[in-house]
Amino acid sequence: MTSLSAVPSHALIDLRHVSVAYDGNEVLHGVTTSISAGDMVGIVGPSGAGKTSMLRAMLGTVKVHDGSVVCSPGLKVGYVPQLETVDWTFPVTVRDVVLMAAHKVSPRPWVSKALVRRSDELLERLGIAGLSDRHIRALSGGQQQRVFLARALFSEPDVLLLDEPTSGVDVRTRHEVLHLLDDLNQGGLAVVLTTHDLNGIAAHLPRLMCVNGRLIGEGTPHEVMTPAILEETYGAPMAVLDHMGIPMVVDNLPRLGIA
Amino acid sequence: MFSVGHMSVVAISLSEPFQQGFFVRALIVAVVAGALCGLMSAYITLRGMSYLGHGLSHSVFGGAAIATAIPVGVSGGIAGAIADQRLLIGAGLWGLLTGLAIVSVSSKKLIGADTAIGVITTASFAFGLVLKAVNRRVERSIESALFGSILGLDRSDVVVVIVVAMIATAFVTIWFRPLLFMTFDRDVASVSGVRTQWLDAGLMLVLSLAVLATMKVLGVTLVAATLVTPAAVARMLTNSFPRLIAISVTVGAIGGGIGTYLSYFTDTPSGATIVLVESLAFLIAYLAAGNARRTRLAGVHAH
Repeated sequence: MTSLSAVPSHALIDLRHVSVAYDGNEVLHGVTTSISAGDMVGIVGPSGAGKTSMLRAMLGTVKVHDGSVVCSPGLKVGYVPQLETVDWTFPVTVRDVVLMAAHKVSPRPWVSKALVRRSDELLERLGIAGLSDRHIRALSGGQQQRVFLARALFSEPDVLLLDEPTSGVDVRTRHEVLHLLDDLNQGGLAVVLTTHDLNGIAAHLPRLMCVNGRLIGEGTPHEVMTPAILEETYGAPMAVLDHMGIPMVVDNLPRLGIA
Repeated sequence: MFSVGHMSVVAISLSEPFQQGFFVRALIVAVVAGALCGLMSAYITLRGMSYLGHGLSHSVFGGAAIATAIPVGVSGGIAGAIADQRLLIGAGLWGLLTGLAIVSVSSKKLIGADTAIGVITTASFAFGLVLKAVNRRVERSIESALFGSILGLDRSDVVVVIVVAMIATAFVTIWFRPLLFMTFDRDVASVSGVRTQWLDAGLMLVLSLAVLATMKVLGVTLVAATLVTPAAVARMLTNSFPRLIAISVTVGAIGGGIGTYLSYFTDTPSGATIVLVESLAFLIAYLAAGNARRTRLAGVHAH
């Protein structure tokens, strides 16, 4: 029995001893894990820990300099970028953005009525029907996130990868997005996201990967949100409390300004 | 009686340019080239590469200088025709190479796209100037390439600009969605299966062709404006991408037409006149957009 045979057969994406480097600087070393159908996984870690590189390795857009990434045959992946990277002044309507993904579904340059209907149905399913002709800037944060979700979902992916889906949004939008992703996951879609928000996001997910240059811990929030793993991941002491059965991380730092 | 006679004199003189073969050719070239550059301007400005048009037109000048510096002994036949057009061919190839070099250097993210454009294209322009100084042969043919002229356009120039416009239209029509995706968000587009490298190469090729086809009327130093201004006008008037393209093309075509027509009477360089007409359109759109925004804001405050 080798460790490789332990990989479940229904894995959608399989990372085996994956290392990623940019210009000779290794940002990720020897990561072995897999994403299976129905998974909902959060990748957590400090800034520059290799969270995005791990996502990109799964997407296949970064050169893996060691190890291998194996995807199940015919796997379709949807990707949602960080909203902060979007050019909000670009002249596009909601429908324009969603239909950018149409090139995968139909090679024709024009958009058929069927594609427009499909886009409208998708927007309706995501709860933003009737906004098709709005400019993307004229939307709330939660609505904007849904537009980019709709684009990623247009080609009916098996896995959805999201880069910091809740960075820079308020609490209400964060809840909205989390509920939405949970609904999609309940519908059978595997969801992988990166986040720096331990209490707001990570603690509510069924499975976490703690990353800092390598995979430090993997499991349920209860299993990996421990002072030991968190200190190894973040390089700073943290305490973990229990809040209605959900782990809650607090800084283990005495009050400043007292002698 | 007098006024009727006076009016007919005015009418005759206003339609006079249309009786001149060279003017009709120039008008066709200017309108089609204006529309073509308007179309390209949408993609260039929205990618935040407004400087690329400026750079590429200067770089093309270097290519033209190199091509004219090469002595050729052939005349007549296909080889002769190619030799006659070597300025265009050389400039085109050079423009394409610089365009690809810029995309390649800037995608490494070691330096910004604006810096890459600044370095690569001015180097090419400087090279052209040096060649022009040392080689008399270059001097003569390059002068009109720098500032443009509506004189001396022949039938083949008309055909060239129409063919290039057709190629450009076909390119952006066939790859409309992937191009929009790539222009909006290159990273995510490539993740989503858009072949960004091929599209980039295609865009650079079409752009180089557009610069070339337009160079004779506008001159390399002014092509840049027609590759930016129409989209800038359109951007202030609409939030929709298809409408932005339609407005850009229209502004380019009308600017080319009116500019050429005016230059006949004012006896000013056609390129400069066309650019001034487009700049006027920009000013009007800017003031109009500003007013609309102020009205909207006032409406918001009134609630």
